[in-house]
Amino acid sequence: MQVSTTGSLATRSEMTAIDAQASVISANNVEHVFSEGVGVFDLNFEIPPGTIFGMIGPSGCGKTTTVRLLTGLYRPDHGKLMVLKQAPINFSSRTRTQIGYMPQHFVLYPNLTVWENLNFVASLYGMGYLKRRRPLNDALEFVELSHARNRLSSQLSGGMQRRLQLACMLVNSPQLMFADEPTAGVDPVLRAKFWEHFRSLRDQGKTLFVTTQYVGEAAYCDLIAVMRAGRIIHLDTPANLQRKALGGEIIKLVVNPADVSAVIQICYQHPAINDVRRSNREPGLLYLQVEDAAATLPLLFGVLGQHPEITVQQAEKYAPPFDDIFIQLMEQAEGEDHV
Amino acid sequence: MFRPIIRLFAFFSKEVREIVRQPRLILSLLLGPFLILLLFGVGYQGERPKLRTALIVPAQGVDQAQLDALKKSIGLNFTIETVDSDLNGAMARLQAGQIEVVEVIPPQIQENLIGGKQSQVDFQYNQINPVNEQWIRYLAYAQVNEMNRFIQTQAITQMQTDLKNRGVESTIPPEVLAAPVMPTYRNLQGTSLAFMTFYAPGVMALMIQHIAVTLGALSLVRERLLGAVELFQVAPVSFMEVLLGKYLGYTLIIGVMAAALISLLVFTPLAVPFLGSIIFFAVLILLFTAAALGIGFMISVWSTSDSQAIQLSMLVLLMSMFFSGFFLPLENFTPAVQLVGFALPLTHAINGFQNIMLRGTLPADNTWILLAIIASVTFLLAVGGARWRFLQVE
Repeated sequence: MQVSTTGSLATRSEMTAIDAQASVISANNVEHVFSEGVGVFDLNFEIPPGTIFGMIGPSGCGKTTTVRLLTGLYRPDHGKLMVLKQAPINFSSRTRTQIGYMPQHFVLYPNLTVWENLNFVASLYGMGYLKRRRPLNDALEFVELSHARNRLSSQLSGGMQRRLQLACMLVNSPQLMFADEPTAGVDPVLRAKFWEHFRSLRDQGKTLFVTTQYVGEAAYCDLIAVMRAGRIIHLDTPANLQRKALGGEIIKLVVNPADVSAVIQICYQHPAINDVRRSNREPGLLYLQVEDAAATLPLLFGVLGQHPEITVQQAEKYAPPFDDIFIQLMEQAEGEDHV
Repeated sequence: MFRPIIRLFAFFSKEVREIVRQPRLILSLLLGPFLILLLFGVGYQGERPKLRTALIVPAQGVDQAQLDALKKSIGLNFTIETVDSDLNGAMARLQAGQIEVVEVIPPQIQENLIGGKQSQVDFQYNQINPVNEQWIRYLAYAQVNEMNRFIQTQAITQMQTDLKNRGVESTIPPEVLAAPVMPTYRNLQGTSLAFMTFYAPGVMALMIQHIAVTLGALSLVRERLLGAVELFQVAPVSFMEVLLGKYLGYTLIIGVMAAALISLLVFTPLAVPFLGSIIFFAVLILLFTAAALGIGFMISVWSTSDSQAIQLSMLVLLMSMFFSGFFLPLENFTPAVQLVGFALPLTHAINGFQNIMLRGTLPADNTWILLAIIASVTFLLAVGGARWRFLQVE
């Protein structure tokens, strides 16, 4: 499956148009298999510029392998992989300067200070001594580590180390960034900050390829690839994935518990409502499955308005947590496997 | 244009900072060799083993003058613990390790001589150390020679007295007749150096090599274990730049350390002389450090863990102690094994350090050439190995 710049499903002709726009990353039937038979298989995706591409899946599903293929650390066994118009294993020095990489684990030097570590990474990218001061300061400020610049990185907390790693990824102001599980082991507040940073970078026109085990983080991405056992089982925008998982959109409706049965009857008879589910925890809470929540809500109010005895306490489009969506997608995939 | 230089200096300054941040490491690197030498200088008593000896004389006794002469000649080489006729008691003490040698003087040496027979001086020892055995045999040989000379002198004196009584006079002194040839010694250096002084350049070279090999060996393997190699592979940095940067950083640190160590050796009570050119000495240290670092980096390329890297560094140290001429002369080995010695930077460094520091002369051309060859070959192998090992795309 391929996705257009705006995130909606692309037709084959639209896809050709996207190719012409030169995607930042393009994977075509890419496969890389390790000796034990595990690996990644049949990877197909295009990532347009200025996108946050999230790769989500359980541990060991092939996320890091994919990142390593995209950064040239692994060579594809089959298929064609192009990153910034070059095959990753043949990256030129110039292309490498446009790439930022944040590995899964902290790889900086414990005996160097925050500033020295940043300085080291800036030197790796050949940044001149006089020109680097400002970008380094900006990167530190961006990750809110300016106050700790003279602290040894061994004395930083885990979260601060991840932030330092993020700053190191940013020092050369790359166009394309690969962050391999940047939020792993990070507290929820800091995770939200990370995604705030990522979106800010995206808004500056940068492209980010981010892997994560935290399913809830999918909501922050523009495009999501759901991985399972080395394969991308779904690739779409968060909204479209939600549709796929839930068979449409959901309206959350809260009524007087005494009216629930009557409301269910009315909803079942309405052609725009595909399904009705009752909450076990809250007696007056109903979830209505519809094709288009925005279009159905006025219709729903109209129908229920014809029954003055029914009091609607709340009715709104409901976005279920991505954990639920992810579980649903995984279950669907397992069901397809069994078939 | 300047980017490769910037990248190279990234590693240079990183390595220097990382080591400078570990004052205990610097202290141990600097004070370690100094204290070892100090201990050696204070405690070493010479190469010849001290051999505690029980002297067994014939039960019927020996003439006191003869015994005194005997004890004097034996005492030159052996430390006489007891003088008696109790052979069994002496053998028991030899077995118990209380003495090293039992020397049995035969009875009736003079009578045997007159009778045309040789007497045997029996030396018994209980050694597993081949070097000590060689010393005992050599010293026993020297001592028996001395005894023979004494007996010959006595016999010649007796004969000359008899001949004189018969009217035949000899003008040649009995000592000359007994030993017509005597050795004389002259050292062009004046006097030989104290053991500590002689070994000081070697110990310093050994320490420099060990530090360089260990730093090099741990360097790349640690980067790999840390995961930084992954970062280098994605960044626009070549392994040539990585290694050259590390070479520069470590060479600077080792150079500063060597300078401090030399100062400690020369300007403290150890007073090791420094007679040669400081500039040539600096160049030699540079070449030697590069060669030793090359070996370290080769170890680092092949090691999969830091403990393996340390183990291999220790093997290089052990090999260097045996085959570099540090303790055992290289000439004592077969030509094939000598090649191993020539492949070690330490072999040439000891030679060069001793020449410059103790003799005030330049090392032989071979020293420079072979060190340059080792440095170049190990550098190329390390770069090639690192590229093959770390840049190999799976």
